This record gives sequence, C-alpha cells and structure tokens, in this order.
Amino acid sequence: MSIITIEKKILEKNEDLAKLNREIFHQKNILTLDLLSSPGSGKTTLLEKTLEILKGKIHPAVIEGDVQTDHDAQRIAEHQIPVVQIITRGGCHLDARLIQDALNKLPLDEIQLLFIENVGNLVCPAEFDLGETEKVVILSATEGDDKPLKYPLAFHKATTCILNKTDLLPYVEFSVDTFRKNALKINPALTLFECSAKTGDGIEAWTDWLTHKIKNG
Amino acid sequence: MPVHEMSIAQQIIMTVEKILREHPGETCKSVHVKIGELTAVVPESLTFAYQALTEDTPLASSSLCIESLPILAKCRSCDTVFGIRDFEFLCPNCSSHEIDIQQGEELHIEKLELVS
Repeated sequence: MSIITIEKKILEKNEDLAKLNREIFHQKNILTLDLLSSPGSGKTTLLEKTLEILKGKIHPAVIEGDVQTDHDAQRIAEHQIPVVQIITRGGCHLDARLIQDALNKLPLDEIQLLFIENVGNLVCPAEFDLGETEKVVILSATEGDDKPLKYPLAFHKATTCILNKTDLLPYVEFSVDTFRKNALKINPALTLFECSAKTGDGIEAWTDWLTHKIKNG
Repeated sequence: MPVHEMSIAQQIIMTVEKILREHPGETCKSVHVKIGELTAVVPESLTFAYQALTEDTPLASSSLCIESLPILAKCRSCDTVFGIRDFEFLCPNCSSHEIDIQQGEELHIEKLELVS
C-alpha cells in the first residue's frame, strides 16, 4: 500500500482559466460583473433597464448563461450591443472555460463594461470564479427577506447586492430592514441597492454607481 | 441536489486517473479531500456524485473520504482567532467586522491510498 500526497485545489483548472480571463479584463480595462440570482428575480429586465440608461454613455456587452433557449440574448440584442449566449444544456453554473470561449466572440477593445448573467441559481455559481471583477447578487422582494441566510455563500462572495421588484413590497411579506440586517450579517462590506426594474424607481443609484466605477477605475 | 458537485467529482476523478496512469498495476483504495464549510459543496452530494461517476469503472471500489473544515477567522483589530457560526462574520471579542478568513474556503484533494 502506498500513500500519494497531492495537496492541490480540486478546481485548480478553473482557477487557472479564471486568472487568464481576469488578466484580459485588466489589460483591456473592462469592468466585469458576474450577476447571480435565483430564476425569476428579474435579472434580464434589470439588465435591459440598465442598458437603456447607459446607452450613449458607456460601451457595454453581455454574456448570457442559460440552461436552455437564447430568449435572453435575443432580448439583449434588441439594445444593439454585443451579446453572446451560452447554453449550458443542464449545467447549473458557468465556468471560466465557457467565459474564455465567449470572450473570443466579443469585440473586447470596444467594451468598457461586461455583464455576465449567470444561470439562475444561488448555490452553484457562487463556487466558480469566472475571472470577473466582482460578483453582484440580485434578489426580488417576492423571494423573502431571509434569502441571504439561506444562500450565504452567494451573499458572502458578492460585493454588491440589488433588491429588485420593490414595487411589489406593499403586497408581500418582506421587511427591507430585516433583509438589510441579514445581508450585512453575512457580508458587512456589501453595497446595497433597492430598485424596481419595472418602474425604474431607484435604478439610477445603481447606474450612477456603475458609471462612477468605470470612470474612476 | 445541486449538480455542481458532479463537476467537482469529475475534477477529482480526473486527478486520480492521472496519478493512476503514473502508477501502473496499482488501484486506488481511497481518495481524501478537504472541504471547507464556506463552500457550496454538500458532502453527501459529492459522495453521491463520486459513486455515480465511478460506477463500472476501475475506481468503483475506491472510497471518497471527506474531511469537513469549519470556518475560522482572525480579527484584524484584536488578533482573536474564532470560529464563525451561523455565518456571522463578526469578532466575538471586539465586534469588529474587519476579519480575515483563515480556514473554510478549502476545496482540496489531499492524498490517495493506492494498493498493488
């Protein structure tokens, strides 16, 4: 019998590729945000509203990750910006290799801001580094104010959190104070935004933050 | 079950198969991994994924031994080292949020036990 000592990271290959992606983003000066949420949080609508406001001010691009269909990419393409659809065919998360392949299809020299809309899932995508600058977690008012406690890793790894569908707050059992308390317990450094992508209420705080981040590095 | 444990099990198996190619004539008895509690990996799901993916392969008789590592942090203000419970990232001594994670983010393959 022999013992072979290995001591290496299980996801080493993904981390190596994520590092290469990160170098590209750094060289090209692209702010890359990995958007994480449950299915149905309103990510694509939020993204569309964000693109409308940033139009003419910033050059964005989008990588869409979905288990099936290119519906979301079609919605984004209507905004006349570069978009690549990744269909994972059952895969529950994007990984660094999928992003590397998608980057080959984007005009990287013309992009300042890249949104990666991850597969709707708050568990698996939190574990995979894509090389992004930051992870942004989105939840909607219909999902419950205890969501950060149920999916701590996503909230711990994100730098920013957006509470969407605030227009529905009068109709659902959701305490914004409890949500804030729960989110900041998991991650005291989290930047929080509250908005309704549908009505546009509160969304400019988010787009101003994005613009400021791009202009000031 | 969250299927990313499948991807993780696949990565473990690829590493083990590579080492077995370097040790012809030997078979793998056990694979030892360390999984931090600040990862999205459920040990039971990973065990299930490993068993499912190794069925009817030379690794079918090997076992996956998982050591779970609790989350430990060190306070930057008062140097207290403490365990994080219920994902409360706060120093129990001075209530500072300025802490560094020292353990709990591991997703490591440690060693293999081979037999001739």
